[in-house]
Amino acid sequence: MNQDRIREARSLWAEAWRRLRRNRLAMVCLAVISLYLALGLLGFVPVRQRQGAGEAATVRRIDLVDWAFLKLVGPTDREESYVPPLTGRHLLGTDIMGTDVLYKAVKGVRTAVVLGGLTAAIYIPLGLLFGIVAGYFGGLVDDLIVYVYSTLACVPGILLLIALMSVMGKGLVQLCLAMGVTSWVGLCRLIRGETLKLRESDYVLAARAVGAGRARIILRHILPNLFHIVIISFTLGFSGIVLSEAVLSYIGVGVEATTISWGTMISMARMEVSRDPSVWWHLAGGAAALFVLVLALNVFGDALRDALDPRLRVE
Amino acid sequence: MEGRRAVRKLLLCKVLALGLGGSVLAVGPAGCSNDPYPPAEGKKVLYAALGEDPHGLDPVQAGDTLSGGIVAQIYDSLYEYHYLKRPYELKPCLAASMPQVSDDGLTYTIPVKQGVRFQDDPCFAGGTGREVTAEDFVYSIKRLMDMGNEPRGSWLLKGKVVGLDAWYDESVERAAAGRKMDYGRPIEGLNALDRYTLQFKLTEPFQQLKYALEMSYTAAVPREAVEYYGEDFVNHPVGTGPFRLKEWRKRWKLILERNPTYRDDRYPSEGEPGDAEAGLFEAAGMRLPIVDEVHNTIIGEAQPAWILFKQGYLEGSGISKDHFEEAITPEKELTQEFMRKGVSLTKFPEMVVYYVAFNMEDPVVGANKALRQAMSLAYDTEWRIEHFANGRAISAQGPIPPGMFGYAPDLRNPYKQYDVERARQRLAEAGYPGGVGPDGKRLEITYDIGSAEPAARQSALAFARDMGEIGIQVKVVTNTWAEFLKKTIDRRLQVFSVGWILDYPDPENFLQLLYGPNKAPGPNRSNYDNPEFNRLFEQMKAMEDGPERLAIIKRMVDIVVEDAPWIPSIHTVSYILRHRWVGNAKAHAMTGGYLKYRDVDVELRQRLRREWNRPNYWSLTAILGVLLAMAMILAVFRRAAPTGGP
Repeated sequence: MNQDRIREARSLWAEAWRRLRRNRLAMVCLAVISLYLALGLLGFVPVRQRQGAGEAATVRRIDLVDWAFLKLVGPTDREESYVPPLTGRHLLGTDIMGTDVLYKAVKGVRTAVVLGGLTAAIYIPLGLLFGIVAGYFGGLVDDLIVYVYSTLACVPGILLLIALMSVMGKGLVQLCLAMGVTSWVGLCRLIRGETLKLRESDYVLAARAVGAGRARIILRHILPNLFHIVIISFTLGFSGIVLSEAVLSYIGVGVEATTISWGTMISMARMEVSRDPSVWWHLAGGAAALFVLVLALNVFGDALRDALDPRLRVE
Repeated sequence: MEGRRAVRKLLLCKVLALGLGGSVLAVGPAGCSNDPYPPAEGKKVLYAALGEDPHGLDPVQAGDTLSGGIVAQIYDSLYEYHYLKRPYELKPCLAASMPQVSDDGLTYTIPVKQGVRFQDDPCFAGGTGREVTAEDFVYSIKRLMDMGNEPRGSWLLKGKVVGLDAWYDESVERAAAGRKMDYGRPIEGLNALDRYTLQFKLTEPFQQLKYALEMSYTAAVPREAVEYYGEDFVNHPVGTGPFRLKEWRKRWKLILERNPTYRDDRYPSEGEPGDAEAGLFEAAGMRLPIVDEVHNTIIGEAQPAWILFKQGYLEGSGISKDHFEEAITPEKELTQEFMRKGVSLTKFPEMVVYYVAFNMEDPVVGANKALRQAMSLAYDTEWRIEHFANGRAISAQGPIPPGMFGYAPDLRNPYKQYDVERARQRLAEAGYPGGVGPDGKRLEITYDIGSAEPAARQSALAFARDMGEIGIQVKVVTNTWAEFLKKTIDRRLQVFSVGWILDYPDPENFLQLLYGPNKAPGPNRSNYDNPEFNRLFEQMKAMEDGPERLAIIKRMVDIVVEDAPWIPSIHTVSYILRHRWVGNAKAHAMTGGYLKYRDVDVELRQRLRREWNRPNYWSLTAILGVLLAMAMILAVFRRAAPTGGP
């Protein structure tokens, strides 16, 4: 085997990245997603803000997004209610409280990132664990897991979420928990199917023949070959999670009223559209921020799936 | 290929022809109207909208204004308010006269009108409604105090009538065990002396009893109907009122029709100055009800109801905050568009107080008066009035609304003047300088609201913003109304927003919201308990209106202002729009069966509706034009395209 040949034999990931890079639309979407992610992470950077002067001064902890808007746009003025877009310092106008709509749209990113991240942190391990266990061990364990997820899948997702939220109460963490425990079914099915296939593959058979234990086979030979499914499912699922938040907040069972999210923005603005004169920018701000992210995630997710699919490898 | 193309062309032509034909048919003479109602066939029908379905039509459960408003059209009580006279005055309804009260104020004897019949219903023998007797009121009041019926108004008579509390307590036990009460059991203080005489024996003087006997809670309910319909009684009202239920399709419509056996009841000929000029005496002496039917459409959202009103398909409408600028000018008068249509605007102060309540049993806010005062100082009422109520409210300074005896227009609650600097100062005195407590942590308050509607959430956000100004962090909890009620009853809330609409025109109705023994589950939801206030309340409630009573009320209000168990928010002013064909409409602050007085000029309504809803042929022509143009372009394109093919 000569050196050139070795260099040519890229890993699955390197190959996928090479193919992704060629897809210009996917790269634009990746840039959009990265921008959102960066904005979301900025919302976690704490800044200390002094309020008042002299002895009465207090120090308040705000985040970098708050701080940036405070510097660039200035503090919220309660008298600046429903300022239309492109008026004065407000690029996207203001809501009834005089809060900048652009600020709310950007703050909504943090909520979306927390939602997507936390929910994924719950549903991916669940889906992986149950999927692999069911697929690898089969038999009674498989029956049991399939029974549980089939039952869960029978209940309409939104209804199940509403029921869970009514029990646990409102809040971002509760919402993540509720969505986490309801959205592992799809991933679990995929993982189970793939594991069923993989456990019969030659290399697993070979590993078994040389005396590898179950844990080693699962962790070293099967799990790495499932990660592409997890990544695709996460990318496409993220947009579903953000949309679910919007739906749940619209009907009033999502995050708390004080948490800024695109769902609460859309929900709060729904009556304002029918005002005379109409206040459309509050709704448009939330919807546009949501739309761009969901579109980017879906396009990128599709491209990623193609890139990771060995059957589509064409030289 | 040619053959397939011909088929495609034919299909295209068919589709276009169908589209055109359909459009023409749609506006043809038969369907040339947007009228949402079936033809009334010579009947006088009043069209109204309800925001939601009533929560059942059992009088003892009609605790909300919407259900109460429908129940009051079907059921009658012993007394009713005079329709036109102001200040509000009671007059006999099913009672033959006002109650005869013993010298000690403890015995009320009430003669019941003879010859009044319940509406005809299958629950009665032969389907014919029987005569109402004093025994029906004994039965109905027992029902109100039986927890098995899930009554909403038991607080009204609790602790007031001899022996009734024992009945109530027993019903609580029996309801928990799923057992029914024995309605044959006599109650010492509640008796039918004979067929037409009812007597109450009270535990203490309770001059508000006459008002309680006006409310739908105490309306005459026939035992036959309750037993015949069982649990379904909430959907089958059987009363003595001017209307009866004709049809109720949930989430669609609720239709009331004239009760053919309604007693001889006449339109009043007395009122207050200005009524004659307003044409309110034109129907004097006329037999009631005047209209044949009341057609209520259930419309959940404000927008479609508003459009229907503008088209003339609803007789009247309130004005939601988002439509305010369309109808009302900055000078608070009607806009040109509405004036041209002949719409009338009635403004009247509602007897209501909205307030932010502190749970006085909460270890943080309940125990710290200075903290409550600081929060009250930071509460920006004027902003709320401007942005949430379009200026249709006045800033509340105490618990009593304007128009009520005891209301002091010159009262300036020192803690209700929006002043952030003073609020910060007071907060520091309360032990939270800059909102940070002695433990170095920021003070966090939980604020509960009983609705997920945008308006409620916006109001909560405004509260969070106001408190944030002085450094207090607010966690807003959104509940359904049922959850919220349960939490207030269990005293689990910390700070929350509620309102109280008056039940009867006596300041006692508002001051009882702060009376210690009325703590939750009673109406005193902030669980305020001040011995001095309680003592004054007991003294005041049995007094007649006069300078002495006024002085006591002033002292009570002063105590409440200083203790700040509430942040009194606003008293709203209602703006009602009505079309010019609606007659005999006079705003009334009390919930009651006033639709029987309402009239409608059917011909004028028909004419104006037609005028306002002319089919828009112009837009139709434009659509037809576009369709034709598209067809022509397609045809040209098809012809010009190369034939191609193998």
